[in-house]
Amino acid sequence: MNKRFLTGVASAAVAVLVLTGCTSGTGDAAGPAEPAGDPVAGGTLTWGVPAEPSAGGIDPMVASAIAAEVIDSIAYDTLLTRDDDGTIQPALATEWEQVDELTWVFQLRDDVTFADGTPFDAGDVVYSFETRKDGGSNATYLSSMESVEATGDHEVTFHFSQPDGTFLDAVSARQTFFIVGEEAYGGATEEERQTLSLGTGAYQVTEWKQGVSITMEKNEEYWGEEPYLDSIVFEFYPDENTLLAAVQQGSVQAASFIDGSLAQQAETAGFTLGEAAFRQNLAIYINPEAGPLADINVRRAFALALDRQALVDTAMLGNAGVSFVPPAGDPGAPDAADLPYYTRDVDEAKKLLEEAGQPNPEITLSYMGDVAAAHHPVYEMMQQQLEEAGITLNLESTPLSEIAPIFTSGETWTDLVAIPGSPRASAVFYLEPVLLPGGVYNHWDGNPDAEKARELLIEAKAAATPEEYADLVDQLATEAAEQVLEIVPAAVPVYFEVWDSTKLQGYENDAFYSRSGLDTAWLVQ
Amino acid sequence: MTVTREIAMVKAAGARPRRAKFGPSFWSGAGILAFILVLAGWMSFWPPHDPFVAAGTPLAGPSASNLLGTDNLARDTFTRLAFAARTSLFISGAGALLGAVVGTTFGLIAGYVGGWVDAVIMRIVDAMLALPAILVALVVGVVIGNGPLPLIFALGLVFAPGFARVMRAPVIAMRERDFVLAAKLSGVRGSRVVVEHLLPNVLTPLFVQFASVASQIVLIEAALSYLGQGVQAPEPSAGRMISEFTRFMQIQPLLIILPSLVIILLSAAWNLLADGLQDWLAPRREPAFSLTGVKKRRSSRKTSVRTEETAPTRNTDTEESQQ
Repeated sequence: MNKRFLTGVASAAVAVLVLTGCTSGTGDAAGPAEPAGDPVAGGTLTWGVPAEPSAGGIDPMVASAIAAEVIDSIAYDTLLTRDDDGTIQPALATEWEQVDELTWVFQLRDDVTFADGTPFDAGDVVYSFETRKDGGSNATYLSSMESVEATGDHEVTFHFSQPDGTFLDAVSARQTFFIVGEEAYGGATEEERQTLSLGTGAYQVTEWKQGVSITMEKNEEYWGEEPYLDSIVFEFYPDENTLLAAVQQGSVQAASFIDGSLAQQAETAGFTLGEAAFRQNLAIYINPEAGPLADINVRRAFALALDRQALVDTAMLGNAGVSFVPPAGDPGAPDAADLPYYTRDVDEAKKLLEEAGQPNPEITLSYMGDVAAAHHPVYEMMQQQLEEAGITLNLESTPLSEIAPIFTSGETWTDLVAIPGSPRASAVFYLEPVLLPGGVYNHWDGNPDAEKARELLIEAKAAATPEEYADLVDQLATEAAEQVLEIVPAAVPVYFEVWDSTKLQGYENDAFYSRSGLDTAWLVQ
Repeated sequence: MTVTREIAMVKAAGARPRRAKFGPSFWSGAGILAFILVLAGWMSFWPPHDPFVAAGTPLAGPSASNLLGTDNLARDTFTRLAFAARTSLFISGAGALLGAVVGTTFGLIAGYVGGWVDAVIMRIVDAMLALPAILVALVVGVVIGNGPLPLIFALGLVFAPGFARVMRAPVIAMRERDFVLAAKLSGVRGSRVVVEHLLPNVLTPLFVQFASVASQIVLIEAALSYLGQGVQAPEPSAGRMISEFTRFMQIQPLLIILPSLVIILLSAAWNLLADGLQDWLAPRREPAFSLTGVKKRRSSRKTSVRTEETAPTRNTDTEESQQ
């Protein structure tokens, strides 16, 4: 073998090594997901998340942050649940029946125990609903519930003061009415409730290192199929660029991103990007009490001057959907294409401004300048689009801490305030804080433009049947668009989930970001 | 050494007082600033693209139509960077000027009047110097709003105490000098003594401080804009560009590299200018920075002693004219 040949072979080997070394750190993750054989039990899944539960920790009765909801929806169960197309499915309740307009009866499973070994029964359901109605989060969802009683060891009956068209939606929403144990939860200290879990879910929180991670371990008492994973560690990465780096280095096997463009980059690195439902509206709330937006024609011109598809395609790089209230990913969402003042018409917008006597109105929009950077291009692009109709949109970047009083105490605001909304249990709950007295975004009291919408909202809440409810929700959306009671440039998913499907098998994300797929997922050993 | 004696010595040595030439620091600093000014003028009057509307495809790389590519909203990066540099230059220059005017006024008063006036002003200055500039700018932004003008106002006030302190010291040293006393005895009013006799003699530290503060303002403006509290969208700002485009750094790295370079360039330009002015107005034995090479520096070191003796500084020059 001559020297030249050896040199050639060595050079080729070096070239191959260099080339393989230059590929992504998760090169083994590249390629489509191939089943790696039968499920294997054991292992710890590391999941990178961009946010840590905040106020109220993970207390299922108090916490309302999305970061807490996604942990709680693994650790706790609800009476009913929904599949991705919105069809209601049994969970802790096996059957449910509306006996009359004001009464619902639920039959419960009799083979469920909480993580501490206490058996689950009707008393726990009564305790959970009464505790929630008595000042828990989402208590307003139970405003027409008069009482709940145990009518058997495993049967509960709900009594209402008026028909409640939202009840079934709320009971089946995965992040709303978690069931806690009267003995375990009732006997726990506030700190225990906020940092540990004692639910009926497949995994339970056993450790929370503040600012670092939350560890969930398999619930040995779980009533469903035994989960495969031993534990799941949710690691916190407040900076999503760092999370992307962790994904690319293979430090985490799955991750949730708020920013869709970063999730796409993770997909490029070989991760599987789950399809995500647009459950979160980039809502812009209106102050109609003063300023140019008090005039309905200016509001309509504003709505007409927006090219929502361009906002979705360019400003959000396709990681969003055209939407109104409720958001496009909600089962009760209207088709935005059919809504009035929703398709761009700059000439009509100019005409309306002329009619309003304000051909060049100046409108100020406040947005959270220090968070949700992925949404900021939407506001900049809106500014460009509105300029074409003669509307000057001044953008006011405001820290979250300064915007917070607007949605906690209903403090007054500039002409417009952009606050990405949280997913709600039922369609009408999106407009409730805007239209009903006491609502934190409600500046429409006494305004005739919102009168009809308010009546429709109240009617919908009291709808006796799901069909009647759906019809009223449609009418409400049309009326809200007609009067331009809220501006929605786009809707986005709560999280974009990515996972390394060569390592995490059997996982599929769900439309309600509850990660219920973890119950049946396993790690390739 | 009195001025008269110095002149006599210079004459005895057979050399006329000679003003030092501007050094490379000055020229490079001034050159960068002049370049940005020219670019800003060009962009203001004949921009190749509208900086606020799409001018291509989003996140495109450099091409003939978009020299430095485009951002996520397809706006031309070159045009926006030039506007960002202009805004930063304007804010740093105007902020430093405001600080200089306010600070110098109080520094001159404190130094000239002395006594309790001096004590009160300087204690206030001490207190203000203890405040972190970026924090004060943030608070001012919250109170009077964001944008270039509030920034100039906030940063001008933040840096004014520094000017006051720098101005006061030479005034104290000079207020007992003969030419000041002569002016006082001739019945010249105090305000005129300060403006016409003292101020021209303390311009050296003022100029240097001005350029140095401007350099700091460039960085603070970038930091505030990065935090979303400086220049507001859609007005281009290098700091905000870095914050906005970090999410695209793997797709289009130029989007954060270029604004970073603009910030470095501007800050360095002001610093070089400060250094160059320092060397010109009050030459040091060892120049802090020289582009002329080690060899040349070594040879010039031999003659520097002579230069020190022969070339009077700017303030003694002015002093001469007073006498």
